Amino acid sequence: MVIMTMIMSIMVVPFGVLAALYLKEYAKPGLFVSLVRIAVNNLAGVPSIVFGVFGLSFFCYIVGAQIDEWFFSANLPNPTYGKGGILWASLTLALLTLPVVIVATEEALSAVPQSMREGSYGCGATRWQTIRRVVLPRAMPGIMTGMILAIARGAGEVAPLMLVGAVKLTQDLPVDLSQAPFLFPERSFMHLGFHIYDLGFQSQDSEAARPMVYATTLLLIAIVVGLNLGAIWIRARLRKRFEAAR
Amino acid sequence: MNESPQMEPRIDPPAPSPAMSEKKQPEEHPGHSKPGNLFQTIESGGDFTTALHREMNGLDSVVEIENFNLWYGKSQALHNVNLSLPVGKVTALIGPSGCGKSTLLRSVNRMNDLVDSVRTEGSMTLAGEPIYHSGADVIELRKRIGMVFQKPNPFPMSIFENVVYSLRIAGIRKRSILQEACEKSLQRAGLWTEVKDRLKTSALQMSGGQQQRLCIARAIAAQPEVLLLDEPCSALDPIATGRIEDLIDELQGDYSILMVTHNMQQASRVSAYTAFMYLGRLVEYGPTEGIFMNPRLTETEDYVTGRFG
Repeated sequence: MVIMTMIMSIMVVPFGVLAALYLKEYAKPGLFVSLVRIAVNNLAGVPSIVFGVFGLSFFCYIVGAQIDEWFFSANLPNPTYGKGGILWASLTLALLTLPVVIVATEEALSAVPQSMREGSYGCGATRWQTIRRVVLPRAMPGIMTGMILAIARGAGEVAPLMLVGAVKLTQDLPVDLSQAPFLFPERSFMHLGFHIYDLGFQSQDSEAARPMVYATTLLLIAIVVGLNLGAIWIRARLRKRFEAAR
Repeated sequence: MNESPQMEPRIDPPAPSPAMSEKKQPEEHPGHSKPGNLFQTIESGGDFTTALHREMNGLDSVVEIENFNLWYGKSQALHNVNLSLPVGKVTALIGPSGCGKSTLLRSVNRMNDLVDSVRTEGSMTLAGEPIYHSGADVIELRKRIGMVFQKPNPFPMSIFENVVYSLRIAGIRKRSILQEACEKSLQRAGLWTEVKDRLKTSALQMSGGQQQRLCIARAIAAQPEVLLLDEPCSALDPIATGRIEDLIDELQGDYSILMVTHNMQQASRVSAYTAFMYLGRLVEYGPTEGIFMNPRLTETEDYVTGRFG
């Protein structure tokens, strides 16, 4: 699950930041930008199970099936990528959390004072140099806030994952250090959230499962808190570099 | 420091010097609180010509502004401005708020390009090369013109990186060059002894006055030909202001400086030439002493003595 969240963060942050940069810095304000912004905000309100369905149909059945056809045709009809797996689950979560990152990044970019950009342009910097050297570093803590929110949301998600790769029980972890190439993005995985649901509602003897449900929940919360603490720690370090004793 | 100007140069009205009497000479005795007719003419959009002091002719100029007009959307902010910036001297732009001083200043390095609705007409040249020209390289132009803003705006990085920013974006990587440029600019800006032991710390931790001097160091690091100062002291206390003024004094000669100021004492202290603007027109332009001690127009006199504006 930690891996999944990490893959998700790695996927979602560049996309979200690029999208926000485009909307804020490059695109001319107008109908198109407003429409995109409304669409992004609406995306945040879509139920997560819908993202699961989309992930299943798009990533697993279309993209995954294509990959299978091209690279793993020997294994067909048994799918390699054409089924639920940790990579597709991460991408689905990335889509799910994209609006959060875009909105937070846009806010952070707006908070960069215009005078700072002008100073940079006044030194003869191009637009991209200004963004890369002045705007982005200054907006970094805000972007990290978006990432923290995205992690918090993504790590607690269960519903879409049931469709795109979380399984009840599996022998192999997606990470296997005894076997090259160590990471198997196509493998299914067990998810704590799904495990809680499974134990609590699907097991034969719910009385016996109760302590296990509590334990699993505690572990899940602990991991989410841990991930968030990590991100907050990184943000605090970034802040210290920019914030001043004014 | 408030806006009221120093009264001492105006204790007794100066006798009109014969050298300047060939054009518009105030008929009424200077001292009436009512602004003259010229302002009404300007407000109603009538014709008028800049009162240019004779001393301004024949000076070597680095920036030449001719018939320059500028519009923000539909409203015109600059009307037919003609001004030449003398080489190696400090020229001050004064005038009431909203008269287009900053707009004119920001036109010189095409900072107004950042505003979408801006449209310009007329010509401006830097050392003979056109500034407003479809083929002009804005980036190159801005490297030749340093700019310091109203509020200190250091970048969120170390002091060292701030100073060498313009070199960095020009692609210079060599440590020795950067270090030399950094030390030279900071020394020039009178900041070296204060910060030489903490070049690696964030520039945002400095005081306001230090930050503004850092911005000046940043502006001169790329060795520009012209320095534009947009009310560089308006956010600073009197002591920091004094240091910046001393610094401007030291920098003249090597750099041609155009500065906007609201503080008329400051204009009279640091500048060699002064231009008085009103409602987007350049009203009077001449040596600072002439503008303050012996203005050609009543309107200028009323403004510099604080009777108006």
